[in-house]
Amino acid sequence: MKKLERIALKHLTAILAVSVFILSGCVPTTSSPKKRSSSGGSTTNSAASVPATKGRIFLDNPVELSGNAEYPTENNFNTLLNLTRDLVYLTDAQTLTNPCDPLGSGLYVVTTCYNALPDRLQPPLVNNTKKWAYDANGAEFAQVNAFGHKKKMLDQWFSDQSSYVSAYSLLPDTSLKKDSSLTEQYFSNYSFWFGSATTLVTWANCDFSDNAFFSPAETALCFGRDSIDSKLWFAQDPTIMYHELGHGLTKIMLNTRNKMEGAGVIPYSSALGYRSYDEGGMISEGIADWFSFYVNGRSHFAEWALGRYLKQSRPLRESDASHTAAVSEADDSRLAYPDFLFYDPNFPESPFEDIHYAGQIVSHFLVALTEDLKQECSISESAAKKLTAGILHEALAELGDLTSKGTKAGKKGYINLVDNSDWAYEWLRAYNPINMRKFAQAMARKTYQIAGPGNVTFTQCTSYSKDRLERLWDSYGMLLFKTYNLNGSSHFDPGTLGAPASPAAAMGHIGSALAVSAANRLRTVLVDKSSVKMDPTVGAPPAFVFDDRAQLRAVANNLRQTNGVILSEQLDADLGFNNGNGRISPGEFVGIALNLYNSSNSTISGVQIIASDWQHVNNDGKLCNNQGDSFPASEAEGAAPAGDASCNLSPIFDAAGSNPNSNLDPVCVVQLNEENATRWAQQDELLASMDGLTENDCLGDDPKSCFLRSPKGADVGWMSSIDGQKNWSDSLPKDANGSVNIGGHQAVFFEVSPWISPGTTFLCRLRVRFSNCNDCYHDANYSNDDFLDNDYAMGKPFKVIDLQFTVVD
Amino acid sequence: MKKAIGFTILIIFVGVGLYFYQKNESSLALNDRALNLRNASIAHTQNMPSSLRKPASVEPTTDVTKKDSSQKRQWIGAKDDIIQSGKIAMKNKPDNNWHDKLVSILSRGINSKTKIEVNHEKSVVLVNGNDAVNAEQVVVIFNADKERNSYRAMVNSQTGKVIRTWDHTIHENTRMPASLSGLPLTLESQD
Ligand SMILES: [Zn+2]
Repeated sequence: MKKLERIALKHLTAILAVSVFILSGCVPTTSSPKKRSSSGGSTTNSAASVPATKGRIFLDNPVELSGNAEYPTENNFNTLLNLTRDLVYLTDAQTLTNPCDPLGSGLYVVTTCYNALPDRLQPPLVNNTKKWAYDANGAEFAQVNAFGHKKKMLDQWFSDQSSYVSAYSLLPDTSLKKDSSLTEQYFSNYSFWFGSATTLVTWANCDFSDNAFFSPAETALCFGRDSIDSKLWFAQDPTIMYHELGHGLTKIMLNTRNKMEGAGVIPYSSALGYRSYDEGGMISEGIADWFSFYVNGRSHFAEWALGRYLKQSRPLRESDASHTAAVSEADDSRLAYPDFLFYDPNFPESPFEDIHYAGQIVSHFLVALTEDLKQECSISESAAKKLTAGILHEALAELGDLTSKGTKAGKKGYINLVDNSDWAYEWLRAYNPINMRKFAQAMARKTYQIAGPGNVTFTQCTSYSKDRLERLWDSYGMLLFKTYNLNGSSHFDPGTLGAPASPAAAMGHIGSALAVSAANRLRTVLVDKSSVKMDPTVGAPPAFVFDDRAQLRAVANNLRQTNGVILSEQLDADLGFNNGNGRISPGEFVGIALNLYNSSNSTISGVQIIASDWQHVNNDGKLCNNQGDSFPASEAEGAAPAGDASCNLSPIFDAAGSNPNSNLDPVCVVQLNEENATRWAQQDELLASMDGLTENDCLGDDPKSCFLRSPKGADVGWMSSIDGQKNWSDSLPKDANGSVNIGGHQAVFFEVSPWISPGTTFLCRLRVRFSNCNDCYHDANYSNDDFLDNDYAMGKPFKVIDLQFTVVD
Repeated sequence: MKKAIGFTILIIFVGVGLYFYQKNESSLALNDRALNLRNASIAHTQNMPSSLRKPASVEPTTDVTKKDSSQKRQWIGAKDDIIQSGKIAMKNKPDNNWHDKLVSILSRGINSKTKIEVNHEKSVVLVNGNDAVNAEQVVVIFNADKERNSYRAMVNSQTGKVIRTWDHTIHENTRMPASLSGLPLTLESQD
């Protein structure tokens, strides 16, 4: 695909060829449903056939039960039920609702823990006889089926959790289990259940087509129906419901430590994924897929809800027959990262950038880990699932910890800065989000501590060797870390919790980091950050600009509704200034995708571009040129004096977690014209020089981003991967026409003040890193131990890439 | 809509000729269009209620030791040493209209078919160092034709401005609105 390059070289203004980026673009025409194969007149699943409190639910989805991938909805679904096998206890209530009692002790009960409703704001199905048998073709059955499978998965989850937590995490503090991230408060503060006695609702007849969703703000699961055939309810498919509830349990796991603190102490919740494509979202989807395997042990899921018409069901392990790529469970044939990021086994000829398909790498890894634990620890499949769930919970609870303590005996500052949930949230969202490297390292650390040599007292498994663990991660291309970082990432002194004289005395650099054996890194490739740069091809543009009014209105609406991005009131509400001329003009809301190039011979992946404020300015407002980009070149051009003490960039947070100097500065600076020279400065200097403008005219509250600002939530871009010796667009999958889909996630977005004069030149110091980076996480000065949390406010863990442009109309 | 398009055309075809860029002094003059916009903005601002017009004003310091008896608001992030010092600077004052202001902010430029729902969860005080802000925790729901999105938001109790959002909806279909058509950043736009 040379299209982009051609445009770039000739400076044409033709619009990049793109095609509509919706999943349904992949949906082929399907054969029309066959004629109804049974009369359907008799309903065998009758109320008379079940005792009170019980009912029948599908054992699996209709495709799996019938063995027919094109099972027609005209068929009588009752024939899929086995009257004996499928009779289950559901509830003693007259509506589909149950309490939760995770320990079975009556001590920690959520009275109305979960339910099923037809849809939002609709009354529940009432059944005075409590006989939950309904015609399997109907909407009521879908509600019962949704409820029954929610109960089935939660029963297993709570049983496993209480067993795991009491066997491992609740060991006394005097034991060696101080490294567990779960504690006794797990039960007493409802951290096992969203932090409060809330109800997890299911809308089983949800009024949305071709979609299911988890709404954490409403604590609700929605299961819609197929747009081609409205008789197909997603709630007829247990496996998509396991996936969706998996998202709910992921939220619980990530926030276990936040909710343990008590109601509202940590107001925010951690999440995986903040853009339409990012590695957090990919990990989230992979974990949710694994939960289908967790419940039923099968190697595939959603054959009915996603597979019947949409052709979007997914395998969960390499042995699944649906794989169209040459993968197997041999070490050298796994579904490895980043090779399979775009792999859609349903349409192998149409690779596609999407978190669900990329997430297959994670689901396959988790299944492989489960199977490996089963084999190496000589335990049952169910015990291996419980152990994997425990490891996953430990890892996510630590990664998502906004209290900064991380573990049972952890001190403030161990992870996610120090005792400042506001900034910890920002660190997880933008500065150091959970990517494949961070996820892999945390999972490996917890596996080592729980099932490997790091474990001494947990009896369920002690024999999972460190080499075995590392080789498994490597077989998936994810041995991305050089140490297990057992010592955390705090820059404070472990004794006083005050700032030490040198980083060497910081908690995060003393004690054992535990090195990975480099000999185990066979498939994983780590690449130096210097390999990522602007496309060096002669005439290649440094970036692509998105400023079409209709498109940017759609983007702004999407960002507002999915990610809470609120644009400045200085911009026209309808983006009337956006002129679509591919230039950055006054009053516009624009997307900028850096034209990044990978000069190494290996693919780089999980490329993150950050336009958030960072530490690159000294105490006098002069620009520090010791951040890797050597910008500005001289003091005369706006650089701080050489050796300036405040450019040594000490940690921004004090021991109390405060940021007294507020020394994170906006990413874009401006060129001032003075006398016979130009000088780079922060935007507040430009404001001061402009007659008639005040801070009230700025895009936001900060005069340093008065004229050009990347709004929070739109300030982080992600590119899934860039092939060796290629630029980003040439690395994207092509559609049948040879065009690439450019998604909003690949860009960072900027608001341009309507007050800025054309001709004004800006430079944005963007920070870039990627997941398989050799030197973005490992501090060579400390034996490749992880950088400390505060370091991610600076330039050193990143490649700083400067984008310069002049505002023109 | 029509009005906005007309405005855009005006900017493209008329605006270009009006810009000038003053290089001889260290100050930049405002171009005409900006001045016109600014005058319109000032006129608009003068019609606003004073609470909207003013930036969050600094209130006298408050004795935080009285917080339990005087307010139902939950205090978040208050550190022991700061509470012991007894004084905290409140950066805003709750306004009964925060809800309407929030809806107005969220609605700005939105597709008219999208219905916004805001459900209040609790009132809090967010403490950061010696500063404190009254805030409201809400659930925001966007009901659109083919999709619903929701999240929690922390909102300034005076201005209705969104401080942070979290708990965003996780969809199984892609969240991408459409793909983008980009143009290369031309040399003309580079320095
Ligand atoms: Zn999902």
